[in-house]
Amino acid sequence: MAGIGFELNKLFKEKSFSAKVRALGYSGIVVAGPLVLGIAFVFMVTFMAGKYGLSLTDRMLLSAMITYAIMASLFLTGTISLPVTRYVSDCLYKEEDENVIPSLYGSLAVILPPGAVLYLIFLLQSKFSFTVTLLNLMLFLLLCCIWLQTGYLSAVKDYRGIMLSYVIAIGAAFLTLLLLHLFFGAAYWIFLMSCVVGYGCQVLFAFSLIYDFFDSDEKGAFAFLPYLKKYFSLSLIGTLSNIGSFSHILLAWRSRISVHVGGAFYTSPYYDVPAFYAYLATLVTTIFFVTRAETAFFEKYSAYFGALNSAAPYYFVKEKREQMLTVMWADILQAAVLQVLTTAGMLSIGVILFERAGFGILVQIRSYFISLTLGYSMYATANMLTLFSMYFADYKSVLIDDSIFAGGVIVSTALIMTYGPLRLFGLGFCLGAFFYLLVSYINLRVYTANLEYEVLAKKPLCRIRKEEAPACPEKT
Amino acid sequence: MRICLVFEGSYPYLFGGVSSWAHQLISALPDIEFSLLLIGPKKEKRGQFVYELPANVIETYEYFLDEPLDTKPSSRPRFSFSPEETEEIRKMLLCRDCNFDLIINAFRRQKYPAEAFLQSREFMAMFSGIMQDTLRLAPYSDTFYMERSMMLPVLYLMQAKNPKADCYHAISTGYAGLLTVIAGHVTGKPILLTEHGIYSREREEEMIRSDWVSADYKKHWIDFFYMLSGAIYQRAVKITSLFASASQIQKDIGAPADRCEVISNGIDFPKFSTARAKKPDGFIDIGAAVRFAKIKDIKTMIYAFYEVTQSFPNARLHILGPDEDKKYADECRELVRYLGLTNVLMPGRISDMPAYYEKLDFTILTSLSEGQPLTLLESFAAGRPAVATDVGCCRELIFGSKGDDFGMAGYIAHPMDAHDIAEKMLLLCNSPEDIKAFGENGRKRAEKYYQRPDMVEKYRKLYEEVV
Repeated sequence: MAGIGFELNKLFKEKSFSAKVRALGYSGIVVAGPLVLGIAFVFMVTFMAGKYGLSLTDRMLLSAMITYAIMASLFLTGTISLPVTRYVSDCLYKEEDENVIPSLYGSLAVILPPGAVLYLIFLLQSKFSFTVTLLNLMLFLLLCCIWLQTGYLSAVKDYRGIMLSYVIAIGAAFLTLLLLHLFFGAAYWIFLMSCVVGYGCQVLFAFSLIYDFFDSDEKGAFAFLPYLKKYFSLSLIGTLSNIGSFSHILLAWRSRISVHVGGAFYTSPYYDVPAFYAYLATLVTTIFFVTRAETAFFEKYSAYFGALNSAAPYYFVKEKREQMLTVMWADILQAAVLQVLTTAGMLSIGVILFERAGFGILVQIRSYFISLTLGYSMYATANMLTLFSMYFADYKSVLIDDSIFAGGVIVSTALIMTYGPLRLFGLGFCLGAFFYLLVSYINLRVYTANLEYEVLAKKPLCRIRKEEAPACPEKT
Repeated sequence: MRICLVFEGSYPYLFGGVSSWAHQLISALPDIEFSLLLIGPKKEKRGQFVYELPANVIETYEYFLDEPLDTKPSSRPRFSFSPEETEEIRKMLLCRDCNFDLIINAFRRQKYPAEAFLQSREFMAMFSGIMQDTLRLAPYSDTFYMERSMMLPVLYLMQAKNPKADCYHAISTGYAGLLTVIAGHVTGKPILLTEHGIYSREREEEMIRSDWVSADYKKHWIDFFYMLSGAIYQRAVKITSLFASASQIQKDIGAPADRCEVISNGIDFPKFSTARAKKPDGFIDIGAAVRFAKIKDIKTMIYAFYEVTQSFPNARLHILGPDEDKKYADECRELVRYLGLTNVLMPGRISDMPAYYEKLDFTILTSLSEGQPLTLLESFAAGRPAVATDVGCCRELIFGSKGDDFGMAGYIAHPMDAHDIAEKMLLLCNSPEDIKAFGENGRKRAEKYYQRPDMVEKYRKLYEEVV
């Protein structure tokens, strides 16, 4: 992500207001684009379905289909996305660009077949028509591609191209919908088809961006696989992070406020809608991390590790360490302050908007929005803290953080949704996020308090390879 | 009485002077029980003894310096030291004179393996303190890794188990000396030291010549080995060497003079003295009873012999030893082929050396470093003079020490100087009378001063005195 951050940082440094607005826009698109795009698809499709006269139940089912596909693909790809991203980073560092694109195909080959089987099993329980089942499956598989491509796109510095791909996706979906409606009327499947076309265009456009940037080579498609074993903790981290972020929504779908929209699809619209809006609260911290914290920090980080790896004396290493940590904690504080202000703004404005949209009469929706916004705000800050921990390769602490996050969310949400009053359903996620924030802060503090110990002393006493072994002293 | 002998990288894994001496000593004292504490470089050598251990060797303990490399990282090891112990450990990390008694106690009472200290916060704090206060300009991470590799075997040995014995006898300083100090401290039993070569001097020369140690750290490594020597010098009740100049070096580098003593090597004189004079056959046969190892500088020997054959074609060279360093041995054989030498015989290790000496006129030794080479003494006992390089005790053996009027038993040449060695060889080749006379001088010298029973008796008395 540092690549994008540095490029966006240049825009931020330009003095014109429009450059800064563009930079903010681009960073938002890059870091949160795919998920926001998914939300946009859901709203576009359900809005048009309403316009074309589909019943409320059908609209809810459509919305659920897209949402389930997004969630399932996110969870599935989350199991390998971090190790794959690590592999790509290592390839870029070693200037082995030719290995990058093959690894994308390799990771698709690893994920898509089992994913297709699992999702098909789920879809068959709903007993939809062949066309609807196939379109759902295609949607799921395309979303898997998109999530995997996101890691690669973060290295591609063509943020205009990335934004263009989203615009093309939405545009293609909309045009497809209009065309299909002309020929087939308000048939159920045309809405799914428009999503498939839209996402399909995005996948193709993303491939073209990736091919433009990286050299292609047909060899080594599965060269990344050892990373899954070597960095198994990253797989767990990705999975647990997704569980923590979204499991409360899944639990809501099977709770007392869930609605059976058809087949095996359950939703809880009164919970989903505020959750999606609340998720937008994470954008501020994520954008700040990418554009400011990661770039300024990365320079100091490189300086510190450069000092350690070169023949720098201790006083110099210490100085670089203190500079790095000063920048890091200052940026964390700044991000936290921004997040608090944004959260306050979102809460005040968002509640009003909900009321204007007609949701305000339902107290529980307002309380969901408040608790989920608070929860996602804390999640965003905690996520930033864990990203810094990942910079120091402190995967063990991050695994603990994300385990507590996932466990905290699941346990507290399950308990509240089973025994608690309806209006407190969002509190489970809020509590989980709070513990996530607390633990990630403590772990980062502890780790950085004794950095040379963590970086040098804790590593195993290295094994000398035979060809490097010094000659045994000759004996007379 | 049980004596524990402590070896590093020699007996019973390798043939050689120290190993022969040890094997002969143990065999010659069948009424004394021996335990062996053995330190080797690589664990793949475990149990691979080239000697059949005598029956009075009761037990062996083996430690290998590459074993701690496999230590898995302990999860957050915790070490607790008093301020005095911390100060002594700091001195040890700086390779200065330190109180090993305190250090040994400090590590032996910890619940984590001592080598895990190098992965602990406590070590990091000490190390960073040293870098801040004392080694302000030294590269931080390079020094960290150097310190770890230096201290790893030391700490590994700190918690070593020791066999029970009445006395612990180190056959070198270095890691063997350290292990002996530890054993003596833990058991409260006396410790002895015998040096065949001066270990710390040899390491110093190697460090200076080496290309695998960065120039910034050579001094540190040299200080490290002197620190290990100092540890046993200060604690041994008796420190022996093989010859007077070695004893003087020991005193120069810190061994208390009142504890130093010379006990020369001894050989089985009657066995070797049975070798009869060689029957003249028109050739001069030159023997080298050495193993193929770089320290023996056989390549220079081959170059010198090549020069000899240019003016004395009827010379033959017999290199009589095993391939200790297979790669080096192959290089020597290739050199012989490259120089077109047809009169170089390499039959390997000879079991009946006295019989083989009957085929030889004189012997040659071109080592880069020696103590008191048994091969020269055996050659003298067999009545064969020698050409030897001026290392270790060789000059004293060839020309005799103070009070020894037997006369010269050969020639001394400059090490690594093929031309000088060749000239000295030619002096003997061209003078059969000198070969006979010098050979007789050597025989008398070996008979009077270097007989094994005398050596064994001296060690027996030493053990009885100490125990």
